[in-house]
Amino acid sequence: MLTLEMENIVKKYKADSSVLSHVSATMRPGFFVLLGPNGAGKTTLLRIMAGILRPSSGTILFNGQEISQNYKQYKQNIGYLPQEFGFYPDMTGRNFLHYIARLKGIPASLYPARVEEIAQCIGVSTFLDRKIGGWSVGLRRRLGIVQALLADPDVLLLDEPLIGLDPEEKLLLENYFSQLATERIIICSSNILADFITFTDGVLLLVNGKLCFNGRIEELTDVMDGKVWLAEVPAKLGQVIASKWLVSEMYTVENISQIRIVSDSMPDIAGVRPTQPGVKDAYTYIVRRNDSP
Amino acid sequence: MDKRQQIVRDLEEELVNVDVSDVFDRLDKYHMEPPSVEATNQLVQTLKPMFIQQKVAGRQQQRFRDIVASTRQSNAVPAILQLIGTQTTLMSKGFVLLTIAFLMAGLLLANLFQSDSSSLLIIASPFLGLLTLSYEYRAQMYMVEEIEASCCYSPAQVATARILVVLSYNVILCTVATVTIEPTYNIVFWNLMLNWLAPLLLMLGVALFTSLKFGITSGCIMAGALWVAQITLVNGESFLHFLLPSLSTVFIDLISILLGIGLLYFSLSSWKAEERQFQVR
Repeated sequence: MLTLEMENIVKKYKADSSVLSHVSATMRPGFFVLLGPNGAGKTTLLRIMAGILRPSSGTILFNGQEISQNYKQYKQNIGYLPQEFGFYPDMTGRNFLHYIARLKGIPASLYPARVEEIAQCIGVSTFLDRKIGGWSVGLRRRLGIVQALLADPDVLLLDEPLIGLDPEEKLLLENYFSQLATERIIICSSNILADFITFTDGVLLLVNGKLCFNGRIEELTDVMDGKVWLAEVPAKLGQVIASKWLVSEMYTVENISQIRIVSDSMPDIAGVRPTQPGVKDAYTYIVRRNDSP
Repeated sequence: MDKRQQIVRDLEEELVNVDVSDVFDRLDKYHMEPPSVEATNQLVQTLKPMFIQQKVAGRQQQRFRDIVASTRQSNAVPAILQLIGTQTTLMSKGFVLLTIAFLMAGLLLANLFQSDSSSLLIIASPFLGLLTLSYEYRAQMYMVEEIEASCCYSPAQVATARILVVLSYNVILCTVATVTIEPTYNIVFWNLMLNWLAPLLLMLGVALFTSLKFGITSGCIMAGALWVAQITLVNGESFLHFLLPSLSTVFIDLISILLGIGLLYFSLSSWKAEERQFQVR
């Protein structure tokens, strides 16, 4: 069975500071979302999984084999979309995809039809013969997704794939990814909680280079049972509470602030009551708890 | 009886068919206890993996990556040759036109002012080396290097192929110019070939080596400064003449070529895109 395992991955750029600290996880076919605040190490972890960065220590096993033994073979099985997707602006979309297809080792007899097929699925086929320099941000992002899918990889690593896309485009891609995930490992990084949450098979939460949570979305909220509180207070008091307690959500309507507080114990606020935990509560709680380096 | 008729209709048989009717009669007489929940679960657990395996096997037959893998196995072309073909597609028309225009204009001006065309070629060739360097870093400038690094060739292989393509183009361009200046294949022709090839390779080697150690800007500045110094201080001659005054120009050119190739080889073999670029982001 298709598996991707990370064992004790450590990445240090300088001797005294770790970007990633002993990250271990095992993934099987499904859709995984890599969450974490900015600077948590998501991009570094994805680059290591993509085989373009070497870990300082630790190993990555693909189907039980260390990827460092044969990077070329491993890379034939992955598709990668970097956070900053670069392209040659004077090339047309089609020429660029043909270039990437050749770099991926796809034979010339196969890649023109494949480019057309994937471009059609992702909705960029009508723009393929225009120079990329003139494409919109959303189209360029979709072009990046097309190049990642070209070789029909077993492992798809997408760094913030939904940036710059409108809700309709997001929905189209989310549906497409969920179909692909039945027999592939798809890992998407995001720092937007709403992205992918509805259909994800697993959540990896990275804070300060440490993997603080690895499990199903239900398990993430289970952790929060009895730790989320709801208070309705005057708006002025809302700001005071937000500075004193860990607040996962606050909105104010007609001078009344509704505040979700995340706390191990019941806050001493008049009228506060326990409430059903959500993903945002869990995220806030885990990130704050592990925020200190 | 209605149920029997329904089943028979589904089987596209006639109820009058004696055999079928007989089977039903026999089945009606046969009584069997329904299976327990446990037994049913056990049966499901036993059958499920078989169905999943069949389903997965069926799907895998249609996977594009399998078709690619089978086609790839029969492809015996060495990696570097495949990459040279790929990198050739990256040569932009702008670059080709610029370099041709640069050489043509130079030769034309040299003829107009009755100056030595061969000197112009010797002076111009290091500049082509600088252009080659800028082409080498094109992927980095447009941030395509990360995608290229995620493909199945190593960054060093891609860099080598790219430099070979642009260098070959420059050599062809200068050779055409040499043929224009010196149409007969005599000793003068071969000397002229050596005269421009030496500074082209040496300057490119120095520029690439310096850029890998201290950054692309430093590489360009270093090579550019050397080029300007060579033109202004030693009238286009090699600096090696000062270090080794007893050697002839041919030997100096050969040493320059070897030095250039050595620097290029060393630089390309230590080409590690990831440590050079990605860590700073």
